[in-house]
Amino acid sequence: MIDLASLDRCFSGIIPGVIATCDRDGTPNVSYLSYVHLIDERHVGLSCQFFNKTRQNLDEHPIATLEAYDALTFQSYRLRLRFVRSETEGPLFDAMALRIFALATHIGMAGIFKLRSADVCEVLSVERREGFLEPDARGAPQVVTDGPLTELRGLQIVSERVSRARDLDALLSGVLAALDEVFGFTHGMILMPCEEADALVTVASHGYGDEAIGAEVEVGEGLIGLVAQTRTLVRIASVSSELRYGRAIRAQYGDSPRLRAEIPLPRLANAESQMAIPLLVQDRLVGVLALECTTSLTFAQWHEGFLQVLANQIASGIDRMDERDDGDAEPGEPATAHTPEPRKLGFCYYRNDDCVFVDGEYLIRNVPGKILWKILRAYEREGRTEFSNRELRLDPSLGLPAFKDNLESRLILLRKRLEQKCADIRLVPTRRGRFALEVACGFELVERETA
Amino acid sequence: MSISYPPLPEELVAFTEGGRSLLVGTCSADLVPDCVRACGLRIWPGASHLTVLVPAAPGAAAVANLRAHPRIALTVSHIPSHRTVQLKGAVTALRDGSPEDRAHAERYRELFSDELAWVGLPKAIGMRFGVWPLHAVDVAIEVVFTQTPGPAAGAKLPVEPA
Repeated sequence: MIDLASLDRCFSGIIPGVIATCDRDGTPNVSYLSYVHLIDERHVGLSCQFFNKTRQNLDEHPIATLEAYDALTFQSYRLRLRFVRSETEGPLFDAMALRIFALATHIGMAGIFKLRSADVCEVLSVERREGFLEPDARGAPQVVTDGPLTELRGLQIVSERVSRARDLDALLSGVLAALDEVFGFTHGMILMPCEEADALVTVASHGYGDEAIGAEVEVGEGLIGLVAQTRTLVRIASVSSELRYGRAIRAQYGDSPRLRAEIPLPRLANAESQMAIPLLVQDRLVGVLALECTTSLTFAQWHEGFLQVLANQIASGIDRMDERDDGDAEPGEPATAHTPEPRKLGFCYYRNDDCVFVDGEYLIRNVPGKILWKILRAYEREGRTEFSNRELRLDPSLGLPAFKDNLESRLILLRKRLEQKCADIRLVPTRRGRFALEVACGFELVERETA
Repeated sequence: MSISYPPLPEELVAFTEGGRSLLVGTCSADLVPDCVRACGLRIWPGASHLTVLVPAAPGAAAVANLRAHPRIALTVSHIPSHRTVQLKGAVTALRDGSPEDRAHAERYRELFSDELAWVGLPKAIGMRFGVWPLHAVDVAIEVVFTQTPGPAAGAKLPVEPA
């Protein structure tokens, strides 16, 4: 029998599969299947979102034929199936429901459009449909396949970047660059938890330009938020196909008040492939690795398992970097006389949400906002330019948690936001656990209760 | 003598034209179902019967099924919008394709290949869909269902009495 794993592209959902069933009286039924999940070498899971004739027939007579199409070559395969059972909970159901939930949340149909059951079928036979396609006069389609060499090389390169990184910033940016170099994943970002806002914040990005840094995603919202909430990898092979399908369903509900507005796609407006992977250390979420591409089918099934291995390495690396390295305990040195440039920046701190604006434009908020305000104040009052991680951790007004405070990632975020929005104020790492404030212009600080 | 089904509404007849995705469902006498992609559809004048064209090689099992058990399901779907209907009926005749059927199937393949662009398939790949030799299957329509994804999928479509 043809190896089911080799039919990964048939189960991508880009060209929907077709299922034929019949009732006890021999009346056939033929229908599209929105989602076929490869369980193992002998079983597939069929998604059931609406109780329909296919499902009714399977209950009556558990034999079906599935026709599946390779999304790149259009080659057709026929799978004979025997319906085994229907699952409404458990790991298979959760994995299949998550993908549907990701689409439903995006199109504003969470709670309405959902998986009813994961219908498990045994695959009795798989057959390539000879004669379905005419021979190609130009020869067989050229399909670039990935192989063990790519996997091993990728693992080696990413592992090296993780282990050689001297700080968190180098680790995160090095990993994203390596994923592009080895696999051609042109757009990637790493988001880290921001507990005070129940959100994730982008601390490293590749391919999006600087604007991505600092972008926030609420936990539970959209693909990335969902991955953070459920701590489960999600892969979407063709965003446009899934959205077209989702919008067709949404249209069937007319103007129902239960529908919510669609939420914008994360980052790339024309993303076709998306994958988001939770970065976990034991049960603790330390981040989400999100990858996008403008071509469909970029992420194959083998990437899932493989990137999980890489994700574990990245997560361990982040955790290692986050181990406390507070530098010297002494307070920072007083600054030598500084000579501010004539240009003057206006910083405003809003106490109600710890938000900092510069010249009327949003800069940063939450803990990184409080850190910035603390060091700008110290500079203004005492002329201090040297700071240590330790003194930040000892300052209760910053509200850092006692354990795993993500201070390093918060400082990266602050540093990058300053680079983007006011390059005249810089935070420069000096040695482990210490950094300097470099000021190339004048500034004034204003505090307000609310905006 | 086949059942005279009320004519399909004009709008529905118009919907079935062009490069719609056409899927045929059959089952054997011992109730093993099969599906195959069809390569052309004609609704007859009067809109109570149709002819669906089935490529011979991939459709061999379907045609054998129809000879033994002449019940057929045909799903017609507009790829860009997912609007879908399913027609069910009884096979009244089954024959080898004629040169006219071949010309019809080749025109269909052109139009279908254009719709496949919605799922990212280049036209050159869609044009490799094998349409000849083929079988022509005449069907008396008995019932029509909506199958557009959503809560109403599976509902019978009302038709005007003949």
